[in-house]
Amino acid sequence: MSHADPEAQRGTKPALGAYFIVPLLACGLTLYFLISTWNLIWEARSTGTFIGVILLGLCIAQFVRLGLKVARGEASLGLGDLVEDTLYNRQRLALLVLTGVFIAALPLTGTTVGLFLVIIAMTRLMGVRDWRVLVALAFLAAATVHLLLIYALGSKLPQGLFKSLFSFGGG
Amino acid sequence: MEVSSAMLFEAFLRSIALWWIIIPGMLLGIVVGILPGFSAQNTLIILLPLTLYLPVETGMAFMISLYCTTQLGGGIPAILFNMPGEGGAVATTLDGYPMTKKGQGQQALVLCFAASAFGGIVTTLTTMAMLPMLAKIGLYFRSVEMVVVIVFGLTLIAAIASKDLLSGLVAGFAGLMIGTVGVDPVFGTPRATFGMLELYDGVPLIPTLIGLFAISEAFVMLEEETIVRKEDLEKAKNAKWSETLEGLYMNARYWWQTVWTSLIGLIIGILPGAGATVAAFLAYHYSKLMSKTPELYGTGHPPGVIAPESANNGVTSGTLVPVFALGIPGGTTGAIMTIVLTYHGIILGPRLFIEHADLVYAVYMQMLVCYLLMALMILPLARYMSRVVLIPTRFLVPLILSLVTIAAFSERSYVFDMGLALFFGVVGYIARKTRYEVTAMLIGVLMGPLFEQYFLRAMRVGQGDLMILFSSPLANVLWLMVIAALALPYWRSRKQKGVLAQAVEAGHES
Repeated sequence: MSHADPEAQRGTKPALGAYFIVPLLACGLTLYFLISTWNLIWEARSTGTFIGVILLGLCIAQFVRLGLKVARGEASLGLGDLVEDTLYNRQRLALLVLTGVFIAALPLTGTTVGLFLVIIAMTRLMGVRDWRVLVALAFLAAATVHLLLIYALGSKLPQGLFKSLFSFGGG
Repeated sequence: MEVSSAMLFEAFLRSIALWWIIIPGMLLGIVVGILPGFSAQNTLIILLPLTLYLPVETGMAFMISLYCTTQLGGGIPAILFNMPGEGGAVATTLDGYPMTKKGQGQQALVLCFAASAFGGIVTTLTTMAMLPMLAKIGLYFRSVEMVVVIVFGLTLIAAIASKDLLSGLVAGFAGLMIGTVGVDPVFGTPRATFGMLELYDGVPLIPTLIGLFAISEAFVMLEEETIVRKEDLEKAKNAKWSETLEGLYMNARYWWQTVWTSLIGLIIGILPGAGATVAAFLAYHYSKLMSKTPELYGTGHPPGVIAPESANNGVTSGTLVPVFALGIPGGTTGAIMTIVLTYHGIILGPRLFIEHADLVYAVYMQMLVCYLLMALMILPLARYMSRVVLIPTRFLVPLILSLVTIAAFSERSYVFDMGLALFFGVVGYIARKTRYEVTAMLIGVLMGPLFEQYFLRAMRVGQGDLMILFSSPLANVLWLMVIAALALPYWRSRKQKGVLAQAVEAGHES
């Protein structure tokens, strides 16, 4: 497990804390399922219980394995490069926030305008400085989506306030 | 109606005459396959008014060509961006994407296209020769056997896709657990929905696929200048026609592999619900198992692309077998074709072979013509499509992130699904960083509802007794295969360690 770890390459102990995240999430979902379906009839519970019990067993085995490595001093409980303050992690976080804002603002901006703006913001964030390139790329992508999905295929993608204004204007 | 060579030849000629509907169907199929969120099933449903309006053979030709090429199209983003366009192409990422990173994207695409076309031709011809016999296979697989088939498939995926079996199994069963979210199939009681109405129908597949693969890959990708590694960039830029032909040569070299892995696809295709994903992974597993160089799988090894691609196209021939022979569709695509055939007054089932044998064989001939046309498209498509990976990631990442987020909307038209895709993107990124195989997780989510359906049916038959799962000889054979799939990687690594230790010891002695 430690071969490709940056910590291992630097000669420090591999940080295995992040390896607990996925099994912890899985255990959380399983326990939530088991507790919230406790009062239901057996048909509704059986599959989830069957899978959940196996999953809990697998997660416990994984915890024991990782825990033993930490206990033997071969690894630490740190989160490693997953949370390090690096340029890439900052970019990732910013892209995540931008995508979140894009989704949240979609009913307001509409797909075409929202897409145009978010592509400009994301591409700028990735280091592209030329405004002509930024605008051209965003326009091309937004226009393609509008023509292909909204116009040709009649997708119900949100069209935002602009559409509402046009409908109002058009009576 | 007697099946004669004259009848088959006439059906072949009629199918060629339908080129004008087959080619648009193929082009649409490639686009649908490439775009995550646009499945063949959904497109066929959207285009149902058109297919109902057309004469039955023409309508079927359109649906068949679209369906067959979708499987091929799904392999294109899987190879170029590590983002399978279809579930059946998930296994293609294992070796296809490493080939792209090595600057061999063009060869990988040729392998994918040639294996798809050749595999499809093999299974279509096999199906035509053995149609009445093949139809009976599906009857041997009841709910108990299907539960074991799904467990077997998931175990294989965990063993194949993951470097570490335990982590792979955690990811796979976590996916199955996610698949149980939603209302229960008997009484409609919500389970583990966190109070969200949008999760009552279960966790939707397309946003999950987009999040786990596309969004998480975009987060990983941003650390590189281009998808192709720096040292292989020049090689990829200066790719020649000879390298395109090299892909064809590789395929010819592994022709036998294409034949038998496509037959795995055919058999899985006949089973209800199992589908292209399970077939592709089974084929990959057995290809690796039979190989003299299993350690090369996962590093960009050509047979690792051939096996899943020929298998997922083999499924397309199998899907139609239960539709024609029993009148029971094994999946959504089969169901849509059943609707069209029934609309035209065709009565499906054993009598179809007596009353409309010409139609049955004409449909398979259309499939054959489609695969032959596909073979002609291989070289130009592979050559020019592989150039996409040379685009710098500073442009690709924003485009992928924004466009796939929009694609997440397409399945159910909920903005909620876009947020869900983003959530799974974060989970997928953490899983990739900590080596929990996202492929196993996705297959778990995909198989979850199907597993529940068969598991519940088996439990009802056994009146709640789990021993029902060991009650049939066929299921027990499958259980033994599950144990073998779990034990084999462990045994193999022990054996390798033993050989290594012996080599080190011999080195010390000398």
